[in-house]
Amino acid sequence: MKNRYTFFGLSITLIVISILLLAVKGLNYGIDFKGGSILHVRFVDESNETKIRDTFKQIEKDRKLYFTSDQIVVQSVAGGQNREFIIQYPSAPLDTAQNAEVHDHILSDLKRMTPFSDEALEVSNVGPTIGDELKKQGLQAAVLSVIGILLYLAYRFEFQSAIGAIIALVHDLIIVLGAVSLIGLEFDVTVLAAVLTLLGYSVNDSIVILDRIRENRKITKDNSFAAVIDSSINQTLGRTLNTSITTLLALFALLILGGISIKGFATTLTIGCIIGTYSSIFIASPVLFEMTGDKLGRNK
Amino acid sequence: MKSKHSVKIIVVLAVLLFSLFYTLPSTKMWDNAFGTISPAEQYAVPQRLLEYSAGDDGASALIKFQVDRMAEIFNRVKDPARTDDVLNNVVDTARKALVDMGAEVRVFNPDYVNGNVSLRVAGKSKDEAQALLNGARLYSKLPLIVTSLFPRSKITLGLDLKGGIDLVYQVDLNSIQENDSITDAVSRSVEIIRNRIDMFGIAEPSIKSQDGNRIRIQLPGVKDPERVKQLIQNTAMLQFHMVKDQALTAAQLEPISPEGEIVLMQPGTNRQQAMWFKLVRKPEVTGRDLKYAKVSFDDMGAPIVHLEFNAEGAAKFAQVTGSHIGEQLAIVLDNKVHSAPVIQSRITGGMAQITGRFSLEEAQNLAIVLRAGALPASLIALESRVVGPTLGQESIKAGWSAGIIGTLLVLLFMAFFYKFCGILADMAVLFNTLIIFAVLVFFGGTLTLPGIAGLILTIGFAVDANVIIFERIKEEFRSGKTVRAAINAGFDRAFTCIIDSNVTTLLTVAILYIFGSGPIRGFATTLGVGLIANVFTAIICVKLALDLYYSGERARTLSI
Repeated sequence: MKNRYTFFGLSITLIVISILLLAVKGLNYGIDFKGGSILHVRFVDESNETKIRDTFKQIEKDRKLYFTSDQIVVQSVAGGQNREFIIQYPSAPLDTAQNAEVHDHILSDLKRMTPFSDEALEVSNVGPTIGDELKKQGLQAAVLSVIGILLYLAYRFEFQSAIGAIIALVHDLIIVLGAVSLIGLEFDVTVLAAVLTLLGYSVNDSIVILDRIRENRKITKDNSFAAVIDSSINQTLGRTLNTSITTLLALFALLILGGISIKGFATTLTIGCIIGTYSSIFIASPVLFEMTGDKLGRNK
Repeated sequence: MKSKHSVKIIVVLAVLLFSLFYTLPSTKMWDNAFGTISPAEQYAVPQRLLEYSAGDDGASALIKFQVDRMAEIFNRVKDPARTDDVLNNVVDTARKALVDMGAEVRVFNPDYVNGNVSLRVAGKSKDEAQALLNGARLYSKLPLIVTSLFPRSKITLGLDLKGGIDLVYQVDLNSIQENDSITDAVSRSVEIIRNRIDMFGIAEPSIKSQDGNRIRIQLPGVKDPERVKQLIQNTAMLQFHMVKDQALTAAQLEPISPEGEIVLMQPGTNRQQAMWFKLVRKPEVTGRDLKYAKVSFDDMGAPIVHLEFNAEGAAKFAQVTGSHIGEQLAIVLDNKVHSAPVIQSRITGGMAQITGRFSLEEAQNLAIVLRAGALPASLIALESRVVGPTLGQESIKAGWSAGIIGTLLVLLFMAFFYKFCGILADMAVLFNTLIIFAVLVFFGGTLTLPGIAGLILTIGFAVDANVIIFERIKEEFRSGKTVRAAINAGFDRAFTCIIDSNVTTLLTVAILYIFGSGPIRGFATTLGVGLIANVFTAIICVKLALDLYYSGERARTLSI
């Protein structure tokens, strides 16, 4: 409790940095959100970005494309021996039947010019309409989750505790999004799912401590709320750390071995797990304390 | 106290049995032992070797096998004329399955009687032919009575794991006929797409309309995505128009009267320039009058599409050809002129054919779409995701190894930190995973890649409830309570906390399920089931084990 202002300061700094990052750099939206196309392919022969770009220049000459070959993003897949690539290109400004044809042509042209060792691993085209809707849905889901959690906590605990947990939760959300923006992680549907899951887990951590505070408050002989909070945090510290460790162990396994499709998801949750543990100890209950004051029984 | 325990024991054992029952058929072990197959794979694959005869030349053998669900498929198609195609598709799938197993299917001349199909494979002895089918895991070694006891369904893999196509189309509202309602056009489109896909022979398609004017199509394990997309997207509006004039550019055509005439183009090919046509606006005959369409070959061996009209269509056809001999009749498909042959004589009997300018595949596609009928509106592709089977396989492998390592780490940590109790919690975690699998199979849920991630996450987090309880027991024990009292107090005190924390998490998971789609739903499902199962395994199972173990003599020391 004594050091709470240090941690408030730290958290506020992190939040400000995160908001700045989100405002200036923004999120690196994947095609799920901004629309566009992904070709995940494995060529028979080694290739590189320049070669792939040249191939697209060739395709551009033969076909009418709605984007230029400079706009493609080529990413070599780690461990793919210079044969496996993810190629991204933007979506057309409108959903039309012609666009669908363009995508099919690009794939067949690419396959003809640089043979694949297999069928294409993944081919996705997302029109601009779907992406915008998904953004809206994601936001709705996040807001609904927060409201739902707030209501449940207000019902089960007193209002100040609920606010404490929610502030910790929003704190986690902003910092994790800031971190995602900082490392330039591609924000796709799985990352969104990770962020939403995080809401549940972050509040979960806070609840364990708040539950202990609720219990200790009733039986304490001391009239200092700060003491109750401190002892509650200490009593639950073993649990908080152990659960975080086991969760992180599983997440690390996922991060390292889980393959490319799940990397963003695992990264986000790993960051979130660490931030969540921090906030439930250093943010949730201190906020409750700030709102309640040190005198016990004033609010209940 | 005793009877309370025995009720609990029965419940736990029942859940365990249920879980094993539904999980076992999905395991590799089961496959190796019994070679059972999932309903998805059962579709159109050789099931049981019925008859074998070596060829006269000794270099080939005729094998006859049963194809499962054939009757069902035939039933669905109803129209007897279409069964040819269905059979072809079924046999083709079977042939591919055998080829995948390394067989050389030499003579592709299928014979179908009562669900039994014969194929000729190259140079196989009877044992080899049998081994071929066994090796392909295509028929069950277990007697029917046993297999029918066990659930035949394996866990359903999502398209991201199994490979397949996920398409979202929007019905182009501008293209709907004026007197047609949107809902009607959408539902008819769904029906027609379903027919086309059925005729093409794809197992377990999911075709649904959503959000009013959208259609979502999910097709697992399709090998030729481009072709399937073509099959779905083609409106397949077939019309026959009288030709008024033709020229190399639109400008060279005679002036047209917009009310009675239209200008359409015939796209150019490598050998032929594009051509423009002035046509009578009103079609003489349309695809609506079509009774049947199938692929056959002309004298040169080039594929043609053979059309057969119903009585009304035949009459119209006879009338128009009779009165316009020597003139050109344009065959127009989706507003493009396909060809414009000169009418040689009056055509009676309602037979016609569309010749030239296509490959066998294109001809087959055309025959299918013509039979299934024209779409009432054109479709705009909003989203298309194709995951190849290779990526799916790799994802499963990666998920599997991450799962094993992650689980091992968590289990070791718990055993190290909480000793005997930790091992109990470990068992609870494994039990929890088993339950998640079983529930997924039972409710026909889908396991997706994010779902596997959710499973692994659950393993890391499932120990949480036990960690809370164990920490509490430790505390109570330190404060001087006996082992039994400490255990009881630990569970009692931790209970509200566990419920509160799980309910909030479940809340976000439920929202995720409602808002998410596809893979994300799979994630929400595993996570949600995991949370509920977790309360059961952590509170009831571990408590029961502790109660049973720490009774009588052993209740002096606590290994936690």
